[in-house]
Amino acid sequence: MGAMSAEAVPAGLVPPASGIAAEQIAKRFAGRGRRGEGGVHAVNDVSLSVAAGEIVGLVGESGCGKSTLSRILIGIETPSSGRVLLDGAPVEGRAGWRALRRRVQYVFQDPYGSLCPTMTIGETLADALAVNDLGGSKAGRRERAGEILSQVGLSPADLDRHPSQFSGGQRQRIGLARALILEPEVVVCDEIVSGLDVSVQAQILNLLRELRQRLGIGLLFISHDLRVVRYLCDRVVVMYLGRIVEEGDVEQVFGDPQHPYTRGLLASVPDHAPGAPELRARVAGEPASLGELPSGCPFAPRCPLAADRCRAEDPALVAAGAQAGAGGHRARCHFAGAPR
Amino acid sequence: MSALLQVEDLRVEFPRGGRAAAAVDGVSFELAAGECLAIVGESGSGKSITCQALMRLVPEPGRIASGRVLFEGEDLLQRSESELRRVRGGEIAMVFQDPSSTLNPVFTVGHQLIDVIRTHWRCSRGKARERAQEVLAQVGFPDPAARMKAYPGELSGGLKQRISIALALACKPRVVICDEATTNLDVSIQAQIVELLRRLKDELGFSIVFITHDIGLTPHIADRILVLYAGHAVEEGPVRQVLDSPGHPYTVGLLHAAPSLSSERGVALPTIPGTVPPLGELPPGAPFVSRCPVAVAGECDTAEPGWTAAGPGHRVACHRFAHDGTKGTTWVR
Amino acid sequence: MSATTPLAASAGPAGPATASTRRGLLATVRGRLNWQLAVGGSVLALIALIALLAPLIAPFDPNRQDLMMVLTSPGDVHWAGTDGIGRDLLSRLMYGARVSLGVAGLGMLVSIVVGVGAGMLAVFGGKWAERIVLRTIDVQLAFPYILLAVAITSAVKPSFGVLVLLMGLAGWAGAARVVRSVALGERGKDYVRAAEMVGASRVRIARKYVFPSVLPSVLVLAPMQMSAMIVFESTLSFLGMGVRPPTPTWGGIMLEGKDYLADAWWITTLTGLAIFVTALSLMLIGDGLQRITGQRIDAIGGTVESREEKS
Repeated sequence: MGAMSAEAVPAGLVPPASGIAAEQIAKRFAGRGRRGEGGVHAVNDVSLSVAAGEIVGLVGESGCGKSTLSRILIGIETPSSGRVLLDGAPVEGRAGWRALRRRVQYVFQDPYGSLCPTMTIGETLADALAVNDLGGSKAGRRERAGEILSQVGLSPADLDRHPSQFSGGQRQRIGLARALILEPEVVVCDEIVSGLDVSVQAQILNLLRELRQRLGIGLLFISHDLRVVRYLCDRVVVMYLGRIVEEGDVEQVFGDPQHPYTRGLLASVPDHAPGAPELRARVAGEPASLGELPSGCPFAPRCPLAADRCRAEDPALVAAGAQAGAGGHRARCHFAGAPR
Repeated sequence: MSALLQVEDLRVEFPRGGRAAAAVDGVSFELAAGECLAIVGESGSGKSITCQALMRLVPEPGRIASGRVLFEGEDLLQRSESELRRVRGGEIAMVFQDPSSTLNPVFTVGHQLIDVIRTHWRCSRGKARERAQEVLAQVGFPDPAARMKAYPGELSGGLKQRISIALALACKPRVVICDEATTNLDVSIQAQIVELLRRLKDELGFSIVFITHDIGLTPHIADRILVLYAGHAVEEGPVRQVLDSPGHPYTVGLLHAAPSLSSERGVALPTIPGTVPPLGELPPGAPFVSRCPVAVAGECDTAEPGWTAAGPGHRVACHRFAHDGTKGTTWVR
Repeated sequence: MSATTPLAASAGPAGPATASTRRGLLATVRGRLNWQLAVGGSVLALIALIALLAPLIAPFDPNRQDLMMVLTSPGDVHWAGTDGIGRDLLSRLMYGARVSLGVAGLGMLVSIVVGVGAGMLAVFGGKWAERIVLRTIDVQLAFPYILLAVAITSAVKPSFGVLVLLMGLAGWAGAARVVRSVALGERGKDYVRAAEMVGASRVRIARKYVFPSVLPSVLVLAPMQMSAMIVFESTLSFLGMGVRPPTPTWGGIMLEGKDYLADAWWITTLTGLAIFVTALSLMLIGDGLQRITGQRIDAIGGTVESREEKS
C-alpha cells in the first residue's frame, strides 16, 4: 500500500448521519490452491456512501466488483477488511448485520426470477413482514401490503394475483414494493431497468425519482447504462477491476470526466440525441483478469494515455476536475487534471 | 440502384386461441448493396420474427402466411429447403445475441469455421483453413493461427461475439443479419463491435440488417431505420432524419422515453401510456391507437393508416401525420 | 427446447402470462385434462374400486377349493377359469388387487415422503446433511433391490408391512434425487435470494417458497413410482418373497400358475394382463400429469427437466 498517500484517505467521506457507508472495503476470494493461491481481489479499498434521499449511481462493466460490493452492503457477504457503517455507526456482530439487512433492501435485475411463482403477490409481501414480526395481525399485514402496492403504482386488487399474471415492468414494481415494505433507508437497485423496454424503463425511472422524493430513501443505482445514470443519479461512482476510478457529482463527472476510462465509457455510449458524437471505441481490448492484475495502474494496458509511470506506480484516488474536488470529484489517474 | 434484398408485405402468423394472430403484418422494406438498415422496436414488435422469416426460420407453430422475400430478384420463400440451406450462412448470414449458444463448446474455433466454409464452398481443408485465418484476422484477431485452436469456453463474451461474426462472414455473405448482436456486451465492448461492423461493411461491401431495441445505437451504425410496433411498420427513413424529426407518435415517444446524454435531468421522462397489446388482441385501425395520445377519433380506430411521405425516403404510417405533419404528432413537450 | 424459447422471447405479445404459470395444482389439472390422464385415471379408479369391493362382488371365496373344477378354462361359471386346486381365478385376481395396490400405494407414499424429506434436507440442511444424504442415496441406488429384498425377507417373515417398507426402500432414493435437483434449481433463483434478504429462515424458505415448486415434480413422479412398485411387488411374490399364501397376490398367482403353463394358459396370462393394465394406467397418469405440469422426469435416473419458458 506504498502508493496510498495521506490524501488518498477519503477526506470527503464523512459517513452520513442516516444512510449507509462503506469504509475502505476490500474483498478477497480465496483461490483453489491449498493456501488459497489464485485468489482474486474482487473489491479493493472502496469507500462509498449513500445518504437518505440521495441517488448514487454505481457504474462499471462486468467483473468490476459492483455486484460483490452491493452484496457486502446488503449484508449477504462479509468484507475481508474495512467496515460498513449504518447511520454512522459500524455494523458489528450477528445482530448488527441482521439489522442492516432490514434497513438496506435490494431489488433484483431479473423481474421474472425474483418473485416466487407459487405465491401470490400478497403472500410474498406479507411474508416479508411476518418474518420480521411486523405489521401485527394477518389482516394488518395484508393492509400494509396493499398500501405499498399503491405506492409503486399498482393496486391493492393485485394482491391475490400471481407473478405470472404481470408484465416485466409490473414485476419490477412488485420487486420495489417488497424492498420498500420493510421501510428501509437505502435500497440497492441492481440493473433493475436493463431488461425492460424503453417505455417501461421510463416509467420505472420516474417511479424511483418519485419514491425518493416522497419517502426520502437513498438509492444505490447499479447500472451499465450511463444515459440512465446521468439522468437519474445525483452522484456517480465508476469502478474498474475492483476499484473506484472516478467519483463525484453527476454533472461534473459527465461534464468533465477526469479518468480515461470514464472518458472511454462516455465515448462508447450509443446516444441518439441530435449532435451526439459518433460512437467510438476508445477503450481498446478487454479488462485484465482479476487474478492477474498488472502492476501499476490496472487500467494501463487499455489506456490511451498510459506512460511508464502508470505501469510502475498505482495512482491514488485524488481530488480532480475543474473545481478541484468540489462536489467530491475525485479520480484515480496520474494524469487527472492534466490537459489532454 | 435496385435493391439487393426486397421484402414485400410479409405476414407471419401464430395460432392464438384457435385463430391465427399476426406477429408480423404487412411489413415491407428494401436493403441496397452496402447499406445498413436498423430495425427498431420493443419486445413484441416482431423485429426478430421478421428476420427469421427472411430465412424461412420462423419457429413453430408460427408460419409465413403471405409476402415475398426477394433476394437478387428471386423469392426465397418459394425456394426448396435444400436451396435455402445454401443461402443461409452462405449468401445471407446471421449473428445472434448470445454467442455462447451459437458456438459449439466442444469444437475449436478453427474446426467450426472450417466446417462452415466447407459446407458452403466444397473446397479443400487447406483452402478452408486459409480462409478461416483470413476472416479471423478481419474481425480483429492479431494471431489467427493461435485462435484457431481455442475453444469458445476459453474466450470472453466480446471475443466470442467476434468469433460469431467471423463465422457469419466466413463465406463472404452479401447480407449479414445482426439480431441484438451487441445487447449482452459491456458498453466498451459494444463500441468495439459496432466499430468493427462499420469498418467491415465498408471494406467488404456487404449489407447489414441490424435489429436492436436500443434506438440510441441506430445513428452509430445504420444508414436507414425501420420502426416496428406490434408487428407493423410505422416509420421508415434515413436515420438522422427520423431521429431529428420523427413523424410517428410512437417514434416520438420512444425517442423521448430513452434518456440521452443531453436530456434534461430532474424532470420526469415522458412515457408512452399503457402497454403493447398481446398478440392477437390488436385493436382495429392503427396499431398504436390504444396508446396514442394524438389519435384522431373516428379515423384511427377504424382504418389502418397508409404511408405518408415525410421527406426523401422518409415515410410515416399515421393518420394524424397525414393531416397535420410533425406538428400534430410531436406530443411530447 | 430451442424451438419454443424464441417464440416466447420475441413474439412478445404472448403477454405476461407465459412465464412459469403455476397456479393451484387442482385448478391447473381441471383446466387441462388430457386423454392420458382421463384414460389412466378411469382405469385405475375401476381397478381400485374392484379391489375395495372385492368381498362384495367377488363371485367366489378366493380360497375355496373346488377339486371337481380344477383347471377349468374360462367359461360360464368361472369367468376367468380356475387354478390347479380349483380356486376361482377372477375372485383371486380381485383379492390380489387389494394386496398389489395396497402395497404399491402405501410403498409409494413412504417413498415419496422419505424422498421429499431427504431431498429437501440435502438442499437446505447444510453441507454435512447434503453429504450424508447424497452418500446414502448412492449406496441405496448401487445396492440391487432384489438382493436387499432377499436379505430382508430371509431375516423377517414377509408381511404386508415389510413389503411396504421394501417398496419405500426401493423408491425413496430416486424420489430424493428428483426433489433435490428441482429444489437445487429453485434455490438458485432470485426469489429465494429475495426471501433471504427480507430475513426468512432456511426452514421457512424450504417450506413456504421452494416446496410448492417441487410439488408438481413429485406429483408426476408418484404414479410412475407406483407403477414400478406394482411390478416389483409381483416380482417379489413370484419369487416367493411376498405376502405369504394363502392370501392371494398377483405375483403369487403367477408363481402357482407357472406349473400349468402348458395346460392352463389363462392363469398366468390373465394375471399378467392385470399387472400390465394396472401399471400402464399409472404410467398414463404420470404422463398426463407430466404434460400438464411441464415437468419431464426420468424416474430411473432422477433427472428433471422443467419446460419453463422465460421471456
